[in-house]
Amino acid sequence: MKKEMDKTEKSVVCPFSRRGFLKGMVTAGVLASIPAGILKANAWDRIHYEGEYDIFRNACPRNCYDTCSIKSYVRNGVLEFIEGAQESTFTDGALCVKGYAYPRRVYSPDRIKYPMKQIGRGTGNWKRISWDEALSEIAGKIQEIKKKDGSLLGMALDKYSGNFGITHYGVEGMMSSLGYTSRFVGTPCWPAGIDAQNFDMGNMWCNDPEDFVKAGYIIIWGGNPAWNSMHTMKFIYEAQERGAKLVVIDPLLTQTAAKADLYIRVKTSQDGVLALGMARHIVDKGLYNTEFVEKYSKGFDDFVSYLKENITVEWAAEQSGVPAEMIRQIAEEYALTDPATIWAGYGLQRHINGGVNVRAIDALAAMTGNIGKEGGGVRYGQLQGWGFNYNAMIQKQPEGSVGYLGKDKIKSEFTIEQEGGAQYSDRTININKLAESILTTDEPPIRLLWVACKNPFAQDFDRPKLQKAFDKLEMVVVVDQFFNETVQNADIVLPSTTLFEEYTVNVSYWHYWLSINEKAIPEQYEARSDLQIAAMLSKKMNEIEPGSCTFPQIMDTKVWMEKEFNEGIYKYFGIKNWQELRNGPRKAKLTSSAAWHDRKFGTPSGKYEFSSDLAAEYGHSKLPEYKARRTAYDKFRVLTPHTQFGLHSQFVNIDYIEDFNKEPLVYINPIAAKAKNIGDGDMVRGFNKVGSVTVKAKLTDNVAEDVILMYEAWFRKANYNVQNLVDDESSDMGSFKTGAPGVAIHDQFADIAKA
Amino acid sequence: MDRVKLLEAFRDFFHYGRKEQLKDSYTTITAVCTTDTNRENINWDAEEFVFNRLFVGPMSPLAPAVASVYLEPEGLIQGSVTAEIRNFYMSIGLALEDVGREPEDCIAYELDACRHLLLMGKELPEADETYNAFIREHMAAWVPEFSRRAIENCGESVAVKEVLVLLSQWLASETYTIGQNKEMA
Amino acid sequence: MKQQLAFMVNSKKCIGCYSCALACKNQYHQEPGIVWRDLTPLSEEHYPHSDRAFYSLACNHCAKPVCVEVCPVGAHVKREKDGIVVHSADKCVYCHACIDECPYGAAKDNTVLERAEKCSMCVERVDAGLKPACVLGCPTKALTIVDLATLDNPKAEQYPPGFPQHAELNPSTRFIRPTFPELVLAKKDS
Repeated sequence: MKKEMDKTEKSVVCPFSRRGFLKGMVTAGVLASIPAGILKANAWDRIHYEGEYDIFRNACPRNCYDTCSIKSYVRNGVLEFIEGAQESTFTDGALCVKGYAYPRRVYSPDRIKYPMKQIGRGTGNWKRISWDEALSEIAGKIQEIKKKDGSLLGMALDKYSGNFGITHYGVEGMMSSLGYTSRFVGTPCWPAGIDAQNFDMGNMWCNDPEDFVKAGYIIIWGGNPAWNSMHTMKFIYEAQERGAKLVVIDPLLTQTAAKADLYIRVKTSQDGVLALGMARHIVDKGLYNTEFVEKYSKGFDDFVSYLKENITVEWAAEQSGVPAEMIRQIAEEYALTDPATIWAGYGLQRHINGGVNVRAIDALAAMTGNIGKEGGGVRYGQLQGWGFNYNAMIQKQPEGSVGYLGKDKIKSEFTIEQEGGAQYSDRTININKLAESILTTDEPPIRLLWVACKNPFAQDFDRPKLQKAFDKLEMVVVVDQFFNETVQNADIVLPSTTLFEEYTVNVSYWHYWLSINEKAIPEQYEARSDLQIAAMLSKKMNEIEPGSCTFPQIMDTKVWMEKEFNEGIYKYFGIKNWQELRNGPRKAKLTSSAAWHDRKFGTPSGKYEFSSDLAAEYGHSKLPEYKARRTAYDKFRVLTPHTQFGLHSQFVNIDYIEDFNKEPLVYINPIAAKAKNIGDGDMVRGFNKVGSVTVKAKLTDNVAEDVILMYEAWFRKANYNVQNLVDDESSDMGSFKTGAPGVAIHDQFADIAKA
Repeated sequence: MDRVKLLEAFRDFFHYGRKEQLKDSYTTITAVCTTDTNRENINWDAEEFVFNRLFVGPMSPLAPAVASVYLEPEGLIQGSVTAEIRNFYMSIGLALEDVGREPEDCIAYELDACRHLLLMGKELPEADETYNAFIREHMAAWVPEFSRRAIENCGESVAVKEVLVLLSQWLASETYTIGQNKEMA
Repeated sequence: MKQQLAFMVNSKKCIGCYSCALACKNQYHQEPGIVWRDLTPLSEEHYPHSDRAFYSLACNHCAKPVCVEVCPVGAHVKREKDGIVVHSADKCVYCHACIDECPYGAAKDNTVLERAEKCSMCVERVDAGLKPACVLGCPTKALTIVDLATLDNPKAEQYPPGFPQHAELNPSTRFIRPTFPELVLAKKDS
């Protein structure tokens, strides 16, 4: 590849074979037909089969339950189409609407192709620079910070779930290899529920989703798998075909709700109250599982006393909006069906009482003896197969590095806990208060922000405040594929590869399959993977000051991928080496499809803890007690869940997807719309104390009268960002396992008016 | 007029996307075309920003300099048009060093292929015919639309705009000459 | 009865995810606006909740296909062995007859390539023992291929509500109706 060609005599397109030239000229007589072929219809030649293609194994690295195993078909170095892998009984040959858009995404003319520098943040005046220039500038800034502050705490990393390939933890490794830095920790996604399950059971661990087929009764609570885990639906259908009843509890009539036998519209974030009401009825009727509560649990009697003293079914009905009779009915059905299972979605814990909501639901499953049962359980997520080496992540600080004296520990739900050196540590800051933290962090302030695998302007809360925060930063480096709002606010943008342009390895936080991700095509233009960028930065740092960066200068992503495997992973997935994964994804060798099948819990007592001292240590009630929801601060509740056409800010900008999802909408109940004189298709302004969003209205009774619904997404052609209506209020739990509390994303309120 | 030199200058103008090379190749192009310009007043930083907005990014380029965008029915880069051009290069003995990294139908590569054919034409008359076919049947099919879209979006630019105009004129003149020769034959 | 392969559209299982539509584009890269398979949301007349039930529709591979009848050059052929109606675009002379005559709108007008086009049930894939791209791509198994000669499902319908009747064509596609849940609704969220 001649990027920087010598422009005197050499060609950009290099003559590769004189023989080929002459041979080519023989057929040059038919050349006239070649250009015609460009403009005219090609011969009817629709598909070609395996054999003519190079076939690669890939895995979708998006933040999604389903983590699909992919088969990629490549010819002449070009990715032509992809399929779901049929070896995985979970993916089972099918991808989703987003996955099928990948070939289009890889070759989108909109991709960021070269490192570029913006002359004046937000001006849109960009210069193309070489990798060497980009890294020199960044390395220069790093040196400057060290000189000015005596440490590198002024450099911060903001990274989360844009790519869950295991080697992408090399970005954290890059930071460590430079010194002690500031890290945004925690997760906006699911932390309250993780803490809840850890308090109750000692870990977050769910049954194999393929064992839904064994369930006799299914409650999907605050989740919408028909959009967000569509591959699980076939197992739920099979259970229904075998006679299981499906109940969906959700403030929205989702696509999943439409598939249920019973849909219950609960008042948002009153799920815990509803669960406690059900628990009270189960106690009253004596329907709890005596063996489980006596042998495998701690604090059940306290829980029963709490219920009897504080909860009535009638009160729960009033609070949750679900009639008392219905609470009694589903409590009895759930308790009397064996096995019965609950899927606790992430939506129900994005509240100031989200953690206790999950704990109350866990308690239902425990008291009925459903935990540890195949086809039972309370399903939230699992990280059983994530025991990789995190070789790319674990890097040593350069000798003599100075850090934070607070001895912060970096916690992450996915990886092992990292502790700082003997004397110093990194400085950790709540990822969910990005804007506020940048504005208020001092001694030293955050000067250089590195953004990877994240689009904070689309994902982070209080969008107007974030703009102010970015204005305070001295340098912003963003690694990305498309020109989104965050890139708009960057000084330097570095082009990153797609999954098809690097090696890595992927597992799911839901199903139990392991997939390899092979490099199927060359890096496009000058795109580089996160690891390659770290390796190049290391080289540059060491050129400037030998010993100033410890990151290995390995550019081959395959080498990095190989280093993540260990005997534990091989044993868990029943393989001898990673090469076996080239024949297809592999499923963990499970002794049972049920989590906690031996009922040995990871809690301090080794039992299921209805009463948790650990919870109390973290400032919560010991028991899963009722906690009031957030008081409304405006007229309508604002819900901003995931769209079916994207994953956070990814995919919605791809033209294939635009064919089916043209513009953003706000969904309003017809009764509310009438009162506000809003018609279907009118432009509407939603506004609250944070900011405002103007968007087209769609009327539907899938939402309640006092709720408005907008899907979180980044449209390249629309000025639309739901974070203009979402503040950064914390959820109750998250600090225990992820280092910071979550966010009350669904505890937001606004008013609307015709625009 | 030095046809090869002009092709090289056009090629370099589109290939590098850096101020210095933009300036150098612009100087060559205007000299070869003997255009009367006021080179002193050009703000080359501003020209570079416009160039990137039109052809490079990081935002969606307003006029991508890739044939596929104009000829592929679905605008798919690395689709059938790129493949046709790749095959065409192979037939005349050319290839990118790293196939699959960039589309072969970028304007800089196509201009380079033209240059290659012109040079070969001195020894192999068939190469001239191939050059004519490539210009007439392929480049003439997309470059005018590309230039039009780029000129429409190039704002206050002086140099980028002028090069686009000269490129269009060069193509028109090549196409015309080819047509004339064909009639005579 | 002779073999007649047909799409079975199970709306009870369909989640409106558009995987089938995109799987088709992923395989054939059709031009913008040309969609061989698309989802039709059921109107509130036929289903009580908006945007919550769908028919995934493409060519119906009719028993008496009008496209075969009207095509002057034999570009549409109904295969003897399995009843798939195959369109060969290289034979197409762009006379618009099939586009105008198919009441289901299965034949699409490709104004760019100047030809008619339609779903041929991925006939090459079927011949190679593979599932059509849309069927393979359906994550809930709502879209399948059945043989009408052996189909024995009392719930399968030829003309479910919202799907137009054209008895003279005798479309092969079969449907299972969507169901809807019993509703218990909190009146207000506040």
